[in-house]
Amino acid sequence: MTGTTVVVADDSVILRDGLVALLNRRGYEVLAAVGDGDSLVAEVERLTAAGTAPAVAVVDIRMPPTFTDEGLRAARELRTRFPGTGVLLFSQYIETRYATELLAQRDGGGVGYLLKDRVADVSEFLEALDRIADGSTVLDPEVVQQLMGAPRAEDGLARLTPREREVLELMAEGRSNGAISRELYLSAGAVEKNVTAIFAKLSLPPDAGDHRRVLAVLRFLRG
Amino acid sequence: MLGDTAGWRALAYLAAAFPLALISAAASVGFLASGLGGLTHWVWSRWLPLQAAGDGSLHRGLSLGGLFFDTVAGQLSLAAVGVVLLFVWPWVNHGFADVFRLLVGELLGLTPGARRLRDLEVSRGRSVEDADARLRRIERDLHDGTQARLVAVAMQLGEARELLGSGVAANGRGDSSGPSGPDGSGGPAGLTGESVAGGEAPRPTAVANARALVELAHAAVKGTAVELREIVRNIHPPVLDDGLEVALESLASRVPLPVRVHVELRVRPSPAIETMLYFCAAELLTNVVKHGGATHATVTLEPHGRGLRLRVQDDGTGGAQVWSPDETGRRSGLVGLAERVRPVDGRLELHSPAGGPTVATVTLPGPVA
Repeated sequence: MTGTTVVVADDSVILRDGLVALLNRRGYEVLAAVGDGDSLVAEVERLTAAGTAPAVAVVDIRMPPTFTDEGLRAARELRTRFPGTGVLLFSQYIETRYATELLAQRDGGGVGYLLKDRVADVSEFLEALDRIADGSTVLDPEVVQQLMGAPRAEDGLARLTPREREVLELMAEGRSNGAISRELYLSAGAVEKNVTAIFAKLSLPPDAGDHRRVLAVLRFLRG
Repeated sequence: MLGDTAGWRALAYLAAAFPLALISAAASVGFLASGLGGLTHWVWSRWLPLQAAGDGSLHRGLSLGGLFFDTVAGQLSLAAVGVVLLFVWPWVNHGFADVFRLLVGELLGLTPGARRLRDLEVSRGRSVEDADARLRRIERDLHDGTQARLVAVAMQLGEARELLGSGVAANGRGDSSGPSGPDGSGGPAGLTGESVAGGEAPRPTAVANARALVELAHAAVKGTAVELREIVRNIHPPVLDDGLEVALESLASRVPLPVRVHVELRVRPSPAIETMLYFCAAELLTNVVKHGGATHATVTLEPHGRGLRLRVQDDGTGGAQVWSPDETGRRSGLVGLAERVRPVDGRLELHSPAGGPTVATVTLPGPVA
């Protein structure tokens, strides 16, 4: 059991209660569950001041009072003010623009964007939550698919081989090299080779490895 | 020219208005002057020259049939008449104004037919907005109710499925970090009569069957959630709430070819117009992908007169037609598009010569706010 601390913000009581119950059963510690963006920011502020900053906030995009992108705005504020707390945007629908907006201000902390349906595959969902708590990026396969389906007129990306694109796609979902090698049935060395080739084709400087990874994903997402 | 109804009506108005203006001016001035004169007769009549009455007596001022008003009673009655005239004066003016209003309304205003047309336009616009608002409400209800419940059920089934022991391996991706269930076997789902686990569980067959059923239910609920999301997107894409520009950009990003979006709006269009334009753009982009053989597309939305113009351009092979029923005899999407914009007098123009490029233009004459 992980004991990861979580705050949940969702205006649907059924879903919020269900999620809290699930997280508790799976050994997560739910510090707060709220129904709108302002209360979320207030709770995280309070918890951080008390020295118990949550590891990750699960945030519904559409909440009162505007029922448009409340959650996204709250998420941006959290990322700016409390970089120690990872943010998982959790929504009934996927809009790639939200994903790119969230990633644009990426600053080392964990962020994610998942369809609510993904919670149906409980273990996978919790794994994603853990990765965000650890500071990784997690994107819904549908976001990735949409972005892959819309190749931009970007030379570097266009020159990637299908295998390299696959690897980059999984990187965008926040997977580690180890996870990528298991997923694609490749050896660790082969994954490493692909990743290096991606960096080279996207002309990313060979400094801190993790930093380049983020840049590659960002390049890929912005097209 | 002889059939120019509006012209003849204007001429009739002039013919009636001229004499009426003269009469009303004379009447109005007459009432005012007599009223003031009557009221003040006792003051100014003393400077008038003396006149001899029929009996030889001398009098000053107004006489009516040989009767003079220079007695106290006479002056008082004249003043009273003056007050009455001044009191009536505004009503005289109002009366003439009413006659003029009638004249303008009947001869220069809308004919009954034109008035009916205007009313129809207003009510048509209102029903377009009503329909859009109703769809938004349905979308909101689905989002807050059905979709949320469905996700909650899927979550519970997912947990039950893992508790029953199939783990995530059956799903084919991700590493299995979930708790292993009572027997830990990850075999394919199916109703079997065979024993699955070691003899500890009292009724292994029942457990296996339950697991298979949960597996099926879980898959069905997930499929339903995906279907419902598509339905909701077709009813009213939630991203439209963030404005047309964001929505069109998001739309462009789902199209499997590079699409440039250029939006220029002076005012934010009404929700119904936004929805209409969004679905037009979606239909046109679908068409680009389906037939065009295109490698690039451009979506432009800009003001056009009082309205808006949406243009989708691609570098495909052209030859697109508005009326092109497919093999099943159903109408093409572009016919549906033309019908979609008709309630606001919108027009679809398609310019698609063989060899391309194709330019589809949707014009909404407006107003669109």
